Amino acid sequence: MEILKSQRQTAQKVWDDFENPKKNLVLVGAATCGRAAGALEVIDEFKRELSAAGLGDVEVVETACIGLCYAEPLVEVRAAGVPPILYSNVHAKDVSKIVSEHIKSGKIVKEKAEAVMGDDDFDGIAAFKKHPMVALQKRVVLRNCGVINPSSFEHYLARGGYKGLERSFSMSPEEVIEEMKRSGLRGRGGAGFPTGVKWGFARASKADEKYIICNADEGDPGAFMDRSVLEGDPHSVIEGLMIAGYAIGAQHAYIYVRSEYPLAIERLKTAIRQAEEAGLLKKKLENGFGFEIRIKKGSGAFVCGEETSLMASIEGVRAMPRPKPPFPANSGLFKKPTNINNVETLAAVSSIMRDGADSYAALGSEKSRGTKTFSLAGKISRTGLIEVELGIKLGDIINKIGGGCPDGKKFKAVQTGGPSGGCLTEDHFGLPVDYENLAAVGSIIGSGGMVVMNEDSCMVEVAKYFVNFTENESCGKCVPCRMGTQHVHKILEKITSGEGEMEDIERLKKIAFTMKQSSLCGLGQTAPNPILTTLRYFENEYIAHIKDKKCPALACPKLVHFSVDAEKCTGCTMCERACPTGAITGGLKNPHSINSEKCISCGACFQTCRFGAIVRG
Amino acid sequence: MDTFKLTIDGRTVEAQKGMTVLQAAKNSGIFIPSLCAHDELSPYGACRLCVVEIDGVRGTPTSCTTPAAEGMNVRTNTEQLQLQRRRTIELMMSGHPSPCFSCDSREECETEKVQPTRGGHATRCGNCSNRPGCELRSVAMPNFDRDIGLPLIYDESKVERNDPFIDKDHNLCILCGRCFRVCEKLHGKPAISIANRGKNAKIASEFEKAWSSEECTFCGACVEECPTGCLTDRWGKWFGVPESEKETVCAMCPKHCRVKVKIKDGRIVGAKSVSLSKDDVLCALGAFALPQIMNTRNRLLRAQIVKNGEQVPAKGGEIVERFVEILENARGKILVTEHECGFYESRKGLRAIADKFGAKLVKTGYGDTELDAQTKREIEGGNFEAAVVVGNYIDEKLAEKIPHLIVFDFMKTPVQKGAELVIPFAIFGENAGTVGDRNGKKTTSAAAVATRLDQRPISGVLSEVCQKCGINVKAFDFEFEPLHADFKDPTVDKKNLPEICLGHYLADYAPDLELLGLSPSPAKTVSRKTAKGGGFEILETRTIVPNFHEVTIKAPDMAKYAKAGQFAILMANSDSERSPFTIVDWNAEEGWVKFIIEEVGRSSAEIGSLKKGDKLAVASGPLGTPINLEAFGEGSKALLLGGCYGIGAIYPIARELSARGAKVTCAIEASSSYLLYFKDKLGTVADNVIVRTRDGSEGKKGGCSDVVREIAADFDLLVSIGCVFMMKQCAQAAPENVKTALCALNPIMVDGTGMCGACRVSVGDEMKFACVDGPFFPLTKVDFAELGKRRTAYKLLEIEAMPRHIGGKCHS
Repeated sequence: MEILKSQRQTAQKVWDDFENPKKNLVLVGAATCGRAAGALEVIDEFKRELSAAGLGDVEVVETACIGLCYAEPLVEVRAAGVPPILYSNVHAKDVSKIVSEHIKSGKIVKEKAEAVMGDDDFDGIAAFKKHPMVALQKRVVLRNCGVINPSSFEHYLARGGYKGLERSFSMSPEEVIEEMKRSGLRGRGGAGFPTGVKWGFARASKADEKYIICNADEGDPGAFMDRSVLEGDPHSVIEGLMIAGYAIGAQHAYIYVRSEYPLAIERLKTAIRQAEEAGLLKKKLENGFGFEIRIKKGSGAFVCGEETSLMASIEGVRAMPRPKPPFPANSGLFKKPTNINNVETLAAVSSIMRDGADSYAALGSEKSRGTKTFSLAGKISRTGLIEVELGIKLGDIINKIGGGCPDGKKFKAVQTGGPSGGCLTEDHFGLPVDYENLAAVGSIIGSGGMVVMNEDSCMVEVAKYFVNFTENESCGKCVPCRMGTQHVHKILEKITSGEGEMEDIERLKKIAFTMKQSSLCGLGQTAPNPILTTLRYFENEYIAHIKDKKCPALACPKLVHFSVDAEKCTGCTMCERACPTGAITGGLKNPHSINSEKCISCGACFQTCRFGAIVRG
Repeated sequence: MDTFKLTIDGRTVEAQKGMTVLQAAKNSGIFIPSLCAHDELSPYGACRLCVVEIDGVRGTPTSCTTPAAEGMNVRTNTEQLQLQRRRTIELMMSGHPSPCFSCDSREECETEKVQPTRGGHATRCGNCSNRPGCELRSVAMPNFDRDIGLPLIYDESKVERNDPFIDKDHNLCILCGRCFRVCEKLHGKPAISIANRGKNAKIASEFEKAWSSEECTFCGACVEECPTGCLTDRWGKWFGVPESEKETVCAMCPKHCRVKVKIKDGRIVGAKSVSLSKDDVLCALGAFALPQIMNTRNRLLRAQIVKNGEQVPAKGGEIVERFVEILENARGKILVTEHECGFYESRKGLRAIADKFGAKLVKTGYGDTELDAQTKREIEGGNFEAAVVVGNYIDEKLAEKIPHLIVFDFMKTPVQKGAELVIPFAIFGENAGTVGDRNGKKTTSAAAVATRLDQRPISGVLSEVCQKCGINVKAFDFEFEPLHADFKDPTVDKKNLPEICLGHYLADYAPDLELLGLSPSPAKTVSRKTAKGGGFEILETRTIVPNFHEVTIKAPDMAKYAKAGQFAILMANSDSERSPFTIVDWNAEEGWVKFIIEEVGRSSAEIGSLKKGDKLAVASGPLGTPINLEAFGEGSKALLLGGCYGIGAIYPIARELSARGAKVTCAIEASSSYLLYFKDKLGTVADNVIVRTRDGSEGKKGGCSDVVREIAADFDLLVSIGCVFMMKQCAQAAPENVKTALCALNPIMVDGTGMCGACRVSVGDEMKFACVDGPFFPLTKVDFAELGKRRTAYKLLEIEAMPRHIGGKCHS
């Protein structure tokens, strides 16, 4: 495009300066995850230390999440003499050493070094691409996350940004849709509907105005893929939106993003402003295409992730799903043809249109092409955000990328797909992760959340957690979801309190059937999945709760009793002080005892005792 | 019109473009159960009952939201669909008080028409005032096998009475969304919607404020479309399902809306709009106030005439005779008022006589409460010998200046006491006539019900008068004027509601209108009589289950003399109804007495609303004959049966029996587990406590009568206390050879000492007074049918007296 020509030249210069800086450069991963770990304090500390050391000209730049959340805050130092080094778990106290040794003297602080951000190993430090969490990844959507400065339009441009849009403009909208179909990209929000086909419907719908919506209402517990993309590479989503808008003939776009993502909203605002200033938005382009993007903040209702609710929310009415038909492609936002895509889908679109459908279609498995991002959370050594080719074995994600369960605990299950998904076990480690295979075992890919549970997790409790979530998030419109979630939650509560009956298992299945078959929207239809899969793979745990009144994982407070092993007890009073209800008595140097009437089975004593004197059973 | 064919259940049926599958099926006589669907409202798809299978469509879509299409192949009743429906209904029922579906006595109950409570919560067997007209029942029953198989999760929320005219019982709501959809259809922006989400979702206005503070105009459409008893007409619902409906015209404002009135027992008991179109929306007057005003106790029903200086009831032709006499004697010195809202026929008659007798004709308009100043001056100056006044336009002072006053009115007013002739007239809906529509075109307003007692159409009286005087009324033809351009439409904004009609302040007769900002007449003051000085202090009060209050009062004398089975008459205020309540517990030394108060109407609700330290105006007792338990000591076995308030009432009997050494078994019943109380307390004095619930939520499913049937033969004594229906069932179930079977009756009482006769009951061949001969009578000899009937004798008054909670205060 003409308007980008000169901008690209400047951008390349900016990028070159950034990649091979003439001066020393400090990059701090300061996405939400990094900030939570203390990245902002680290930045402040760097600035202070640098100026104190007379290195005021060393720039400290905020980047976004490179995916190694467990190792946050992450700091990359680009200093002369040595290759760029990625430091992990950098806290304010570590900063002065990095400044004085690495930046001042070119000496790598080895104990904090995680990887070399170059192609080759250096001084015994492995290259980033060989990092165990990175080696198996294939980063398409996350290509820029943590690599560029997300607030820099130039960075995005220099890394091939808006080339996908330019290539799209060289084709007809129909050709773009054809290209999408060929890429095999399927909706990454959860349903997995072929994106090209979806666009085709919206294209075919005749109307004076059309809308495209980016669904950034990421609500699954433990899922943060979309947030990372928005924070790390907002322009990729904007470019994807523009391509989609061009393909279906839409003039207006909304990005529906939850207000719990303030940083993502800030980055998006910046990016939209930059795109407007660059002349890409709000005015007609050379080919006559005019497009505008608005941000709509959600207000914390999970059901707004459902497309019809989301549209209702944008329209300003109560967010409740409505039955389809009519489908959004025919009558959506403000009754106009509307296409809704997820953040990740749109970020993939810009990459596909830049590099062509074939290179994307070459990735992944037969029916599930391309790559998918997953967020690894829970009891896993390397929590974080990953992107892998679809079809990768589940075990490779958990063990090779994620490093298995920490502290030598035994892996028990992984919940995929959030509250709509299901729990899978070690038996599924050989299962290729794609849409069809996960569905076959009762779970879903969903938006890509993976929550790992170890031997300490009670699967009935896990099911209860997710059902409680859907119970609270059900909009209340349709009977099966509103009443069903209440009932199953109550039954699971009963079971975890040791008051369950064997008939409850049948009852759960019966209600789950009704919810699955009869609920109005996906929320209700998939809400029973956590119950059904835990029943399928962990029925023995349910039975133990019901028949033996025991929680095998020792996690359900009402079924776990604590006592003191007088032999081991040294009378240190640690547990006595930790007990919130004053159930433990004994006093200094006397063996302690627990008053079972006062005990609420919170486990505080168990965690405090350093002598293994608290017995759980 | 575009028609096409599709297949439903193997039948080829025709449908029109734009129809949903549900409509196409209905159109062809194929029934698909549905609740949220409504032909005139937007598709919603919430109840999930109308699911169908369609070839080529994934899953089981709802037929109410799926457009019918050419060539579709639809199945509506496969086994899978039936199962889905049943399960969905079970889920729905588990959150909706359901004894009325699941109770084994439901058919019997239907014929008995057990009166539901008017207390704060929808409880009791009947549960819901909407019961006979409940769509949920008609849809659910054929698909429902009485056994829910799920624990019940009612939210037990109190009936909301903070708004005029509408009771909101959210326990009964199934969130079908019809109310706010009809609101949206009629008013554009709906005044109500769903608040909160999931299990807390409920129908509410913005921020759950009172609807009267919002845009709601009280058009009544939401109440009309509610398929359950969630939204109900507070006043009209107690009359049950109307027998018929008839279209007439409301003349309370010049708009003259068409309105469909609901008729029961010859009375107008409700009103609704004639269609769900924007043009036919009613205002609060038409939808709710109209039937209340027509049925108020204040209606003028008797004609009066002054004879020998004394006002006496007028007979036969006396009225017309005197009417003519007055006119002729006062010729030239007569005042005639003509009201704008009057029927064409009566206004013609008034004009005719004014013309004939040279009278001054004064027109009174909507909103007028008195005559114009000039006319008033003329009256004061003694200018008029006689006057024909239609409506409430002159006060007693002015009336004194008119020697011969003829008053036409539909309500009683003070001025009528001094009038020579008082003629009650029938208003619109009670007699046919002609009015002008909004364009001024003449249109007929039909009579929906017959006139009562001496009520007559004004035109009827006048035409006789005219005939007698030889006047040709036809000559006084006139045209109506079209609706004024600046007319303020009350259906658009409740601020425009007319405050006055025929000189009467409407809020006097439909007090809920006060909540919409309408003033009552200046003369009307709400007097709240409460006990001053004396009274009986409430030592303790608590709500034990919804609608049931355990109230302990300080009454040393009563405590001193109380015996098991006796009752007392309690009144919260000196104008409350005198109601009998069983003494449940007492302590002579400490001087207190305990009662279980079940809220069933205004007076019991008043007692329930009192706080610790408040005083009851009246507590007279102990009354009644104590139960005679002398024959039941060591070795004898007694079965005590309690339902509703009776659960508390059997406690002192159980205590006494057990003190005498008898073996006591108590059986208690409630419609649902959450209404059971005293289980533990009874356990302290009884050897065994059996629990039965009508919905099976605790104990075995059933009632006390089932216990009687199962085990009564083993007992020496049977005492049954509860509602009439329960005692009757127990009587029917009682074995013939049972030695002693008693029941305790609490019919309507006034004095409680055998003077008034209100508590008359038929026992065997004898007539007894429950207050002094009872309350205990042989169970199998009581005429329960008569008792039930007598208990409803004052239904209308009870309904009128029902408390409304206005701003947290209980008003009567």
